[in-house]
Formats: sequence, C-alpha cells, structure tokens
Amino acid sequence: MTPALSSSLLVLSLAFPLLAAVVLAARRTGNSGSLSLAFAWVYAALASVTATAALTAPQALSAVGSTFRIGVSRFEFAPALTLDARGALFLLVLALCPPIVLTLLRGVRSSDAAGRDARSQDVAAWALIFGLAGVFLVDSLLLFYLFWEAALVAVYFWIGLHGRRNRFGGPVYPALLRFVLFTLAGSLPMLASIAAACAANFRDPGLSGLPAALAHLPESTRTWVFFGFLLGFAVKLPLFGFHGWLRDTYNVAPPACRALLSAAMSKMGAFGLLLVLAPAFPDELARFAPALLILAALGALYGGLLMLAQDRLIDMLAYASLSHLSILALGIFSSAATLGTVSSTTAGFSGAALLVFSHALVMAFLFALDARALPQTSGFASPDRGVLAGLRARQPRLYAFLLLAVFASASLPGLNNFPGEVLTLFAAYTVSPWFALVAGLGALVGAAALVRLLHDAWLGKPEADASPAVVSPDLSRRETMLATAVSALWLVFGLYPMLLLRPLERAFALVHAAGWLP
Amino acid sequence: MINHSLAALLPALPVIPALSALLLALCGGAWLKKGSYNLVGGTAVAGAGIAFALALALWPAGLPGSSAALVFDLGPWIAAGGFDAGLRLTADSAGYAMVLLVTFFGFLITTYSVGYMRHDREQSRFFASLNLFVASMLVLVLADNLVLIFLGWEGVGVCSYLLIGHYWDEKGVPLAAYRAFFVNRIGDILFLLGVFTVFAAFGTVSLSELSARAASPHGGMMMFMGREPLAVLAAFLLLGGAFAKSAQAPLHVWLADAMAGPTPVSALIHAATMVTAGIYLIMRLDWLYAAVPQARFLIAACGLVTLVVGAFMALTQTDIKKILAYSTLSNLALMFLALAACSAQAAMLHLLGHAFFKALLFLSAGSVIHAAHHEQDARRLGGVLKSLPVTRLAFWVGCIGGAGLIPYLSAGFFTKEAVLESIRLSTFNGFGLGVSGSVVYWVVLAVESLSALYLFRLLGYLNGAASPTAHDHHHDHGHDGHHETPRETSPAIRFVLIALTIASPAFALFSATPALTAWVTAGEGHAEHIHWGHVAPFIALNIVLAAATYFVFASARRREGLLAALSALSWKGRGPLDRKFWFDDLYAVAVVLPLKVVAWVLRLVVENLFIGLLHLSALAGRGITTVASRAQTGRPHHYAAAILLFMAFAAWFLLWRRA
Amino acid sequence: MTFLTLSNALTVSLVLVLIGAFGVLRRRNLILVLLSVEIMLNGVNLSLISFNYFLWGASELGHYLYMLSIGVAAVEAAVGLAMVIVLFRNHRDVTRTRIARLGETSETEAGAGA
Repeated sequence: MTPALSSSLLVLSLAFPLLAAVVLAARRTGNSGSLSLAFAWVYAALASVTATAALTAPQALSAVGSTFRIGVSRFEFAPALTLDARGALFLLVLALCPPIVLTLLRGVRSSDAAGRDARSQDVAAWALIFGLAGVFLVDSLLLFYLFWEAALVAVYFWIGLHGRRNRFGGPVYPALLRFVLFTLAGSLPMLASIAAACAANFRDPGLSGLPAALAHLPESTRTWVFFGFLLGFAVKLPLFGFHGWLRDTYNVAPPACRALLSAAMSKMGAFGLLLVLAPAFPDELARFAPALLILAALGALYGGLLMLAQDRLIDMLAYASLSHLSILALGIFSSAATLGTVSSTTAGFSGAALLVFSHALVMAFLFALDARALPQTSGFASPDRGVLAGLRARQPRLYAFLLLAVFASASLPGLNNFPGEVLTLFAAYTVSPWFALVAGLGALVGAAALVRLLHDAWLGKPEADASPAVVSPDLSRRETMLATAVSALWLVFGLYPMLLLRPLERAFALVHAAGWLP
Repeated sequence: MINHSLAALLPALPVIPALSALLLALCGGAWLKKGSYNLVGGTAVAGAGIAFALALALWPAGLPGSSAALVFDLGPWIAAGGFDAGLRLTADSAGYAMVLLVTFFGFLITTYSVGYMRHDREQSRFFASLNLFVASMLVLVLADNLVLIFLGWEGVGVCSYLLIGHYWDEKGVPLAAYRAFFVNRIGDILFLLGVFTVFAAFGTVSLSELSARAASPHGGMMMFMGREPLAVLAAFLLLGGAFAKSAQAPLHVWLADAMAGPTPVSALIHAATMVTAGIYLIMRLDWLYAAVPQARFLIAACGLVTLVVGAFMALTQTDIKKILAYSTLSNLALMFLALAACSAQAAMLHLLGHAFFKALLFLSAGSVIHAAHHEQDARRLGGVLKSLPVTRLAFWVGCIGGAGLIPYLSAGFFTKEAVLESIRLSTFNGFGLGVSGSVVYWVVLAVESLSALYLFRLLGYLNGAASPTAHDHHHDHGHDGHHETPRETSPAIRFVLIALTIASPAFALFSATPALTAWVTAGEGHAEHIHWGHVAPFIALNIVLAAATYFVFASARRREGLLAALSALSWKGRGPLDRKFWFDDLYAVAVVLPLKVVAWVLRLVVENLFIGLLHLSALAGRGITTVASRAQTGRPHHYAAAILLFMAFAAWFLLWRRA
Repeated sequence: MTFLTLSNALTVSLVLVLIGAFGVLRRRNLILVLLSVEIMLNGVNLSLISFNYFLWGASELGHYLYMLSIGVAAVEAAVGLAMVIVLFRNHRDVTRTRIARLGETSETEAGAGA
C-alpha cells in the first residue's frame, strides 16, 4: 500500500461523513432514510478498507498536511491524520455500527409535523459520525479537541430536535442541558491540558508527539495536565462516579442516537485512555492506578447490581454499558499499573482494544433490537416488565437474536466479547485477584438480570389482552440477514481473535520501541 | 506405539456436529414448515452419527491403555501480553473413553429424540442445540488447556439452558432454565479465576504440560515449591466450577429443576455427559488435588451432603424424572467421593457405569412419558408398563443395574465397588479434622442401599397395579387427552431402548475385566479385587430391600396403607424433604435477597447522588451567571465607573508591579 | 524657581483627568458628562505635550499623538452631541436616569430611581 493511497484513504474516511451530512442537509424533499442508509453502507466499506489497511500495515498510516506558523509566537501547527492498529479498531466500530443501527431502526424514526421523515436526524447522525471520525483519525491535539466538541454538538442537536420526554429524566431540554454542561465541565480541563501541552514547545505535538512534549515539564505540571485529560475521558467513557448522565440521557435520546451513543461515542473516552493517556503518562497512571482500578472495578459491580433493580430494557442496557466499559477501563489501568514491574503485561491493553470492538457491535445491536421490538404506537418505549409477556410467540427470530446478543454481552466463549474480557480480567488479576473477582461478579449479576427481563417479557404464556397495542412484527428477511451477518462476525472474532490480536501486539510493541516506557 | 496420523481426525470430531447444528439453525425452520421433519431429524442424527463413527475410527490409534496421546494443534487462540491459550486438542487414554462415551450416547439419544420429538414443536431448534451440545462436550473433553475447556464448559451450559427451556411457554420452565444457567455461571466465574490462579502459579494453562511437569521426578516437587498458597487457591476455585457443573452441594439446586426439559435432554445432559464434566476436570487435575488435601476434604464433605440429600429426596418424589434426577445427584456424589479419595480411576469407572444405567433409566422413563402423553406423575401412571413391553424390559434392566442387584449384569456394580474400595482405603484430612475412610465407607454403603428402595418403589408404581385415581385428564402438549392404553408408537425409541438394554449389561461384563481399568488409567492402574465374602451380604440385603419395596408398591392397597402409616409420622409439609433440605430458602435469603436489597438501595439512593452531581454543575453554572449578571445594571455611569477602575488597576499593575 | 517641570505638568494633567472623571461619574446631565470627557481628554493631551517637551527632544511624536487625540475627541463630541439631540427630541430629557431607562423593556423591572 503506497503512502499516497493510504493518505487518501484516511482523508476520505474523514471527509465522507461530512459530505454525507451536507448532501442530506441539501436535499429538499423526500425520504432521507434510505439515502442515509446507503451512505452508511458505503462508509462501512470505505472505513473497513482503511481499518484493514491500518491493521495489516507494518507502520501506522498517516496523512500529513503542511505546517502552519500562526501568530506572534510562531506557533507551529500541522494538521495530520494517523491510524495504526489500535486506532483501526475504533474506526471499524464507526464503520460497522451505523449500518446495523440504521437498518434495524428504519421503521422507528420520528417525523416532522407534516409526517414526513425528518431530515435533521440523519444530518445530525452524520455530523456525529464526522466528529467521531475526526477524534479517531486526527493526530493534532487542537483538531482532536475540535472534533471532540463537534461530536457533542451533533448529539445536542439530535437529542434536542428528536428527543422524547421520559419517565426518569423528565422533559427533554433540561436533561439534555445537564448532559451537555456536565460533559463540557469535563472537556474544558482537557482543553486546558491541551493548551499546556502545546505551550510547552510552542507547537502542536499531536497525539504521537505528546509523550516527548511532556517529558520536559516539571512533575507537578504533568500531574495537572494528566488530570485534565483524565477528566475529559472519564466523563465520556463514563467512569464510575462520572456516570450520572447515563440514565437520563439514554432515556431522552431517540433510539438511533442512543445506540450510537453507547456504541460509538463512549469509545471516545476509551480512545483517549488507550491512545492518549496510556502512552503519554505512564508514571502518573502507575501512581494513581490503585484509585483508578478501584473506580473501574466498582463501576463494573455497580452497573451489574443496578441492573437488578430495573424493569425496563433501556435502563438495563444503559447500566450494562456502564458495567462493560468499566471492565474495559479496568484492563487499561491494570496494564498501565503493571508496566515496568515484574509481572508486566500488555494483556490489558489488547483486551481493552478488543472489548472496544466487541462492546460496540453488541451494544449497537442490543439497543437497536430493543427499540425495534416494541409497539410502534407507543413511541420509543421499552419492554416493561409485567405489561408484556410471551412476546416470543410473535417475534421468534427477534428473540433468538436478542438472546444471542445477551449471551455475547455476557462474554460467552466462542463469541467476540470473550477474548477481550478474559484478557482484561487476567490483567486485573495480575494486579490483585480482588479486582477480577469484583468485576466478574458484576458481569455475572448483570447477565442474570438481563436474562431475567428477557424471560419475563418474551417467554411465558402470551397475554392475550395485556399488550396495549399491536406488537412489532418479527424481523424481516433483510433484517434477519443483517442479524445473521453480525452474529457470524461475532463468531469469527470469538473463535479467531488473533486476527486482531497480532496487529495489536505489533502496534503496542512499536509504541514501546518509540520510547513509551520509562 | 500410537498412530499419530489419526490425529487429523481430532478437529473433525467437534466440528461436524457443530456444522450440522449450524445447518439446522439456519435451514431447519424452513424444512419444518415444508413438513420434512425427517430431514431435520436425519441431519441431526447424521451429525451425531458421523462424530461417533469418527470416534470409532480413532480406535486403530491404539489409545486405550496407552500412556501416550494424540495431539492436534490449531494454533493460538487468545495470545497477548503473556497470556497464552491455544487451540490444541489432545486425546489420551481416559480422554478417548470420554470421547466414545459422549459420541455413543449423543448418537443414541439423538436417534431416540427423533422418535420422541416427532409430534413436538420447534424441533429444529431442539436438534440444533442437541448437536451443538455434543460438539461443545467434545471440545471440553478434547481440550488441552483450561481456557479451551472453558469454551466447551460454557457451550454445554448454554445448550443445557436452551434445551431445558424448550417448552418456553409453560409455567416454571423459563425459571428452571434460568436457574440452571446461572448457578452454573457462578461456578464459571470461580473457574475463570481458578484459571488465572493456575497461570499465576505455574506459568501455563496447558494441561498436558502441567501433567507432564507433575509426573516428572523432580518437577513434581518443584512445581509447588513456594507456591502452596496459590496452588491451594487454584484448587478451591476450580472446585467451585466443578461443583456447579456437576451439581454438588450447595450448588446442586438446579439439577432437579432441569427436569423441566424434554426427557432425552435429561438423559444426555443431566445424566451422562454435562454433569460429568466437573469430575472430568478434577480428574485431569488430579496432580493438583493430590497435593491439596484440604480441597479433597471439602469434596468429601460436600459429596456426603449431596449423597444424603439425593438419596433421601428420591425416596419421596412422585415425578418420575425427579426421582431419577436425585438418584443422579447421589451417584455424582459417589464419583466425587472417589476423587476425594485420590482415586481418579474409580471416579472415571463409575462415571462410565452410571452413564449406562442412568441413561437407560431416563430413556425408559421418556418412553413412558411419551406413551402417556407427557404425564410424569408416577402415581397416575400405575401399571403403565404392562402395555409397553420393550420399555418394561428396559426399566427392569435399568433398575437392577442401578441398584446393583446382579453383579455381572448391573452396569453400576463393579464401578460402585471400585469407588467404595477407594473410599475405604483412604483418609480425609483437612481444616484440622481427620476422618478415616472406613467410617465414610459404612455411611456411603448405608445410603447407597437406599437406591434399591427408591428405584424399586418407582418400578412398583409403574409396573404394578393401576391406582384408583389414575387416568384423570393430565396436562399435555397440544393433544387431546386420550383414554386409551398407552402404546409404544415410535420405532426409534424402541430401537434405542433395545440397544441400551443390551449395551448396559455388556458394559457390566466389560467393567469386571482389568482391560477397562487399564483403559481408564492409561495402563497405570490396577483392577480391584472384589472380596466376595464381604460384598455378598450387601448384595443380598439390597435384593431383599428391592423385593420388599416392589412388593409393597406394586399393589395399590399396600401402597396406600404404607403411605397412610408414614403420613402420620410426617412433618406436615415443613420437613427437610418437603423444603428440599432448605437449600432453596438458603439461596433466597443469602443470595437473592441481599442482592435485591443492595440493588434497590443503589438505585434509589446512590444513583441519585451521582445524578445530583449533574444538577450541581447545572446549578453552579446558573448560580455563577445569576451573580455575575448583577453587574449589568443598565446604568451608564456604573459602566463608566467600571472602566475607570479597571484603567486605574491596569496602570498600577503595569507601572508599579513591573518595577 | 521654575514652575515648569515635568512633574508639575503631569500633576496638572492628572488633576484635569480627575476632575473630568469626577464629572463623568457624578453629573446627571449628559451634556455635562460629555464636557467632563473633554476635560479628561485635554488632561491627557497636556501630558502628551509635556512628555514631548521635557523628554523626547527633537522628535515630534507627542505633537502627532496630540493631533490624533484632538481628532478623535472632535469626532466623539460630534457623535455624542448628535445622540443628545436625538434623545432630547424623543424624550425631552437628557439626564442619566432617562438613559438608563432606555435599556428597559416591558418585561424587565424598572430600575429604582436615579
């Protein structure tokens, strides 16, 4: 693969969502849903090719623009894109989740006052994908922050225009505003840290140059810069303690937004932890590792326990998301804690990267199925325990895939969540067996709660008159084919994760060689 | 001495049933809609049958009795940062016995199911799960490292869940499937932690490497040097997993409920194969347990509890399948007691023997249930065997085999004797306590004689006179209640019953030979000598008990008389037998209730605290703006004052501070 | 004795600025506020010329700045007086309370008094 080809792939992967958003915004009439779906499939192909190229290439792919010198102090800034094996997994997430979500939710879209398909949700969706692509692809810190906030703005518009009042959060706008302000409160310290990093040498070091740029700062400054970044990523992931926005935001968000929030936007936090924090702040991570590990393990347990007290699938899935993302964070912090010690292991990093990919696929699928399963007339409601029963009689295929997805999220061996989870739990174990135990318990309890809810709503004798409206029909042929393809993907990556692990190990070794470890 | 070229067959063993499962999952529904049930059944039988044929094809490799093993390496599975788990299959002597067991019973029971499920529903999912189960069990048995075993381990758990939940719209069935799956999952977490501990202690999870290291003269001692705490921890954690999978107390609560699934499932999964996975695991790690006597003490303690619970519960159950399920519990406990006595050989022997007679019993019961349109209560099935000739023969052979009444024809007799001998000869030490093997031996012997009681009680009900309240309308699955006599209508069922009726005594004869012992122990063990002088009185006692019980229960009048006499002594619904020895209550109070309470406290209190953080940030923002906006008074002279103040401050800062 | 030293000139200039500042802050009539602003500007101009005379020798930078300042003051006075005229035409009142009330809409509370 020539450098020119790889650069153009990178630029295309970044520019395509923007183009899609513009085209969709410019359309005057008609149903934008099908066009959006078509764009999603094209982008899936494009981004998958780029990601595969990054996975198989010996070095990171990059596309570098010309250097600008701005202002009085001649601040150096070179817009650049970069993608290595670690980032490739994030790009794959972005490639695969939108088609899944958009296909399954074709029937569950909101419309404007005249009953036409509302364009703004597609535009907002593509704007979100554009922001995310930027976060995963750019190499310059300033652009990174720009795209970070761009994603937030896109979500703001999406939820603001198409959100729905809910039982927990109340009216849409206050919940949305709380979410945005809270996330901002987390990202502004990150901006301060970026400013500090850039001011160190009067140039924008980029993600790859960050370790070197920070090396000359005094230790106390480095600690503050570390906390700035950590705060921004912790709120996005979310890490336990910063997760208060999850429940209400997921409740007011429209279904497709909810699915993409959990699958893709949370990965921004994971991206930051794995590709920004871990390489650039090994000492600080090692120093604060005990506290961070406790947070992550508690998050896994907390998410699982809270699932026991929910009676709607939406809330359960939100907390399941919290639980699994905490396990992901556990892997990253464990590996960061053990690097340089006797029991050093990068298993946690690899496991976390794998979990990024698998968690996204499974969660997007679960959230989409959850919204798909329900009576159309009651909007975006979620199966309520005790109201519906025996849905399986009418939705056998949907239930089969839902059950498979629940097993996948419960890390059944053979499906793609297992290798990631085993590696992260192993890394946690090498720090202390208690972390692995607590996280494992959380996963167990959460899976039990999910299966219980599934049983209550789908199994049992169908209640003849209990369901208030017509139950959604079963999956169509096209949806079944998509679901089968996704399940096949899970099986492939569950049985042969070396496809991803080998490039990942290579990438981590490269970063190591470039002077990551002290 | 062994033919390594046959190792290429090893991966085919699990893959073929898995492929047939996939085929059935994708196309089975469409085939059923077109009415070709036989195609579905045929595919399933082919999948299991080809696996059996392949297993037989491995015979020329010369594995039985040999200490070498066939190995097939498919490369790394999960290898990153120091953690390494590969896709490596291995078949040694004992493993080959298990492979034959799994494929033989898999094939037979799939064939049986073709007959049993003919008028059932959603058969494609049933057969797909059944084939997938066989595939997973084969992976478990052939796996060379603990993580790959875990793949098979969870796979059989999932298939068990799917199969138990087959009649998903019946009350209590989803709950049974859920409990089976999640009690197993508790064990799975412990198993996984145990795997990590093994890795931390010994640096590898490969079973062949660990066994080789343990067997070598220096390595055996060196392995544990300085790593005792980790080894002990690993032993206990893996034990947790084994207990859950093989239904030992206190993790045994799911087995009785698992009878909610169709009978072939109970026969295959909950008698012959899945529940033996725990025993197989401990057997593979016998070097570890030989070095950790505390773990063996725990096995013995829990095994005894399970033995007693199983035997006593079986005495009073009225559901045919529940009686057999509790009998299975007792027998599994026997196998664990053998393991506690450091005799993997006896455990393995009884594993094989038990599979034969229990599968026969379950399949006969299934035939009864099938003929009687899914009636499972023995009290309503009085005399049903009179019109089911093949089933009657099978049931008699099975009961005689289970109670060990005729040594050379009872599949369980010699194997049970092996277990008892190993218990008698060992001691159990741990946690500051020590128990001599002879004491345990007598206890076990006493409890085991109960098996004659409950088995022949069941036989009495089924083969004796009809009870006056029989032939009421009973629950069925979509058929009208027929008041005709039950008949054996399925050739597949009859064929399998006949096959097992022949195979079971044949195995009994084989188990009396030293060849079987050599097979199971890779040539290192030696066959037990039966002291007929000691054993004969017990055989006689068992025969007497069985005959007496049969005599009482075969007649409706005597049966009712005995039950009336006993009910005067009963605890009126609150005794241990009615409350299943209070294990369910223990779970409800010690596990479920605290979790629910904690979960609700978290939801109502703690989560709102975290959400409060968001309100805090919003309030902070609003507060700051409210205060700051007071500076906008709208009066120009205030603004002018502000400008002048700032200029003065700037002047001071620039002029005085800089200097 | 020379009265004409730099510090004296700057003191006079400061006094002028302070007088002007006092007027800006305390005068109620807009025209008098404009007047006070002019006084402040004159004070600054005085300091410019003083610097040029006492410190900068041959250079005429101070004169140029002075010319610039006068120009700006003139423009500002013109605009200000024009606004005063418009205000008077519409409200017949050019006190600062009247100006403050210009910022009120029907929904905001009227400020208290002057």
